[in-house]
Amino acid sequence: GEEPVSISKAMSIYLISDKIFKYLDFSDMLACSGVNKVWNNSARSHLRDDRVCLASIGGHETCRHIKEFKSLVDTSFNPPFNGLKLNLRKLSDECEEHADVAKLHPWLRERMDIKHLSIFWTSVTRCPVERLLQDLIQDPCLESLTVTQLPFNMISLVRLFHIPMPRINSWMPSVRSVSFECVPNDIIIFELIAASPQLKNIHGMILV
Amino acid sequence: MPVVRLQSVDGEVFPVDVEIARMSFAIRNMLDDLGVQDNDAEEVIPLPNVTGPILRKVIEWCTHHKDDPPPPEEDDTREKRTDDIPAWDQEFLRVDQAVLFDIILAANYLDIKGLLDVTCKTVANMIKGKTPEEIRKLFNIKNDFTPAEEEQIRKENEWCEEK
Repeated sequence: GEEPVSISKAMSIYLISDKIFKYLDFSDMLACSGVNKVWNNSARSHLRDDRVCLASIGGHETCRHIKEFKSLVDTSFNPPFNGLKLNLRKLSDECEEHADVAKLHPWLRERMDIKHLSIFWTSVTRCPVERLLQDLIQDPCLESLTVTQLPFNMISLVRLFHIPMPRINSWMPSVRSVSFECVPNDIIIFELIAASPQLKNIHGMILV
Repeated sequence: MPVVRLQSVDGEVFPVDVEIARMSFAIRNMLDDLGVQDNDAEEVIPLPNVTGPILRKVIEWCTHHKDDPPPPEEDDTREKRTDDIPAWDQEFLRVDQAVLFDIILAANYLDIKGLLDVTCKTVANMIKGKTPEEIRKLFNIKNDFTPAEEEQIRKENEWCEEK
């Protein structure tokens, strides 16, 4: 039979598709973006504007991951992402793309708004993605930071975020919300609070 | 009871109680702008985006819900439930998919929040848990992606994480 015109008409009206999508969970949203071009367009706008949609980068094969992510985004007609999840852990030795890492943030900024950043840090690393992290925390688009794990002491934290010395506050100028999925110590919490002049919400288990 | 006359795009005229017609914020604004008094029973309001059969459904819904309390303000922190559609509405919305979406378009155009909510919830319930192919089949939607575009979306979806 014929495809009903009312369906694509309704799905292309933001007020309508947004109301439908509000009732759907994340995996349903991904399914909707694969239906057709009209659905793809509204589902991904909703993902980027009203949800958290992270691309996960890092781990033991960070460089290969970054390469894949770049080619994925460069061939995309409508990237769904509005944030990154960075997994920082000890690397296996072969890592080829150190030289390019300074260009990653400008490249990203041209293609998407990074509003959400999630950090999973497990150990001191020479991973070049640290540079991307340091650029991202100063990005004016960045709204929220989720911490799955962070360094336990200031020395590693300063090194990880490249916190300027002598210490200045406000090194995360636009972050409005910080979520802890771990239980960090007081020093780290206070440092993150002092770093975020726009901070409105803190979520998670905190022992103070 | 004072009455207004609503005219569908195909020329059908429906006399409707003013109180019921005013559940549509679009009609309410038109009546207020026209300065229509409650006793101007001859006033005809043309609705150029709604067909007769759909307008009949919309009026039926409004008539059944005329004594409902006003819908609560949007609250983003509230859990979005979809299992709370009243039995009467479920029965009322057991229609062809094209009709369901026509009602959605009419509810949006006429600005009837309660009807828009319940119809969108109904569509959400139909979509939940389905694959793109199942959604296409359900709504009779044509896949207009090239194989390369489809592969691109599949790969992107694999990268997506909620947190």
